[in-house]
Formats: sequence, structure tokens, C-alpha cells
Amino acid sequence: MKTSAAIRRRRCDDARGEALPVAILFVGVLLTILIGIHVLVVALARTAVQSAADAAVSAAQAAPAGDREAEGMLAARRAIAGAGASVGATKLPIVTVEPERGVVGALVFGAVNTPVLGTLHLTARACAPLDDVPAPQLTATDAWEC
Amino acid sequence: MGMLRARCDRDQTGSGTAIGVAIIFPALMGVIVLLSMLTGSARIEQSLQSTANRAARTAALCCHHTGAAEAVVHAALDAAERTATGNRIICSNDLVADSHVLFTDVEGNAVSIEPESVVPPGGAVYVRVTCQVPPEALGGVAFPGLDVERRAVGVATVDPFRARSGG
Repeated sequence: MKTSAAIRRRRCDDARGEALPVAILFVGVLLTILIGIHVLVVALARTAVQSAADAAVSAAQAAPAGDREAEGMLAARRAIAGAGASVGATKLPIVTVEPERGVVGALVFGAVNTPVLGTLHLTARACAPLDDVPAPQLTATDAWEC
Repeated sequence: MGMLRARCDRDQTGSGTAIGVAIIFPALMGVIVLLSMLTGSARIEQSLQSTANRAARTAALCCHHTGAAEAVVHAALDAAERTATGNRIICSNDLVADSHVLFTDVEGNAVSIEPESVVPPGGAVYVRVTCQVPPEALGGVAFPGLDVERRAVGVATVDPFRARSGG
């Protein structure tokens, strides 16, 4: 005949066995929250870098023939600097003008610190036809591709 | 005896915590999947918006006639669809067929799109793009029956003083 104290002790021993699953689940929840933050941070950074590339292309499109690269780079750098809370610039943006195809393209680089994978490097690209391209050339998809 | 009960009670609180955490954990996983889907959708919408803006701007600047300007918009959308891996415009529908181009004059009246219809000076061009996003493109999770449609409208003003090169 077991005493009530022995039964209670046995129950207490059983309950102690839950410490490990609780610890595992706790770590799992923490990791899940970190992954969630990672997804958000990376999405914000990608959006910011892509916006900078779009801004560079828009600026280069409207700029005079000799200033296209400079205007595009300036627009991209200012856009990245404006989104400093989301992404940081790693390299200078590249703006290329292809007069024979009538296309301007921008390549923007950025980096973001994430809680899971550390520093993540991002690249965004955008292209558009120049404003002075003849209309018949614009109806070909070649003028719109990078 | 009293100490043993107190310790026992403290240990048993772990049971409730385990159950609570076990309930929260899948819910948090669901939140991650949802975040991933939302961010994927936002990226596609961003690309759609910039494509619509660019197409509208070029259509407003390029041509004398609305028919030619519409052809330029279609070329822009066709190219965006073809380079889907680069610009994230991943749609299961035909982007060109489901798009809509509208010219309005300065009073806001619609101008017909025909080869001989003149682009209204001072008016505006609206390019509406509709994309049916396949579920696989949203966070890599293919939920059956998930039907996501994103729309973007690009607007540009027709510059009356611009020299136009064709159409």
C-alpha cells in the first residue's frame, strides 16, 4: 500500500519530464519568430532595392542624352539612401544605356542584416526604352527587355 | 510536506505551458507562410505597377494615334510577361489580353482607340493590368483553390508639346 506522499512524489517526477519538450518548443517558437522577422525584413529590402532600380530607370529615361548614366545613378543612390532603414547600399548602382537598342537599364545593389542568415545581399534590375526611341521600334519587345 | 507540494505545483505548471506552446507553434508557422505569401504578392504587385506606369508613360509620349500607342502598350506587357523570372511578373493569365488601355481628353471623355484616332493633347492614358497570380508564386506554397488577382493602373499625361516619332 503506497502512501499518499509516495503517490504525489511519483506524480511530481512525471511532471518534471516535461521540461525538455517545453524547452524545445520554446526554442522552436523563438526560431519561428526570428524567421518571421527575416521574411519581413528581406521583403522590405527587396522592395526598396527594386524601387531604387525603377527610380534610376525613370530618371535616365527623361534625362538628356549625355547625362543619362549620371542621372540614373544619382536617382538610385538617393532612393537607396532614402530607404536606409530597410536596406543599405553595398556597391555603386550601374546604369547602362544601349543607344542602338534604345534601352536603358539599371542594376542596383543592396544589403540587409537579417536575424537568421546575417547579411543578405540583394540585387534589383529594371529596364525601359529611352524617350527618344522611334515609335516603330517600341512595338518590338526587344526595346523593353534588359 | 508543504515544500514538496509547492515544488510539485511549480513543476506541473510546465504541462500547461507545453500545451500552450504546442498550440502557438503551428499558429506561428501559419503566420510565416502568410507573411511569405503577402510579401510575394506585394513584389508581384510592385512589378505590375512599374510595368503599367512605364507602358502608360511611353504610350503617352510616343505616338500620334491611339491605335499605335496601344500597340506600344501591348509590346511592353508582352515583354514583361516574357521576362517573368527577372521582374517577378508571374501570371497564369494572358497579360496582354486582360489589359485595358484608355485614352481620355482634357474633359475626361474617353477617346476611341483606332489607327486614325488622334492622341488627345493634354489628356491622359490609363493602362490597367490584371494578373492572376498562381499559388506557387506566393511563398512557394500551393494552396488548392487559392485565387489571387492583382491589378495595377498606370497613368500618364499626354504632353501636347512633345514631338512624336510615329504612329
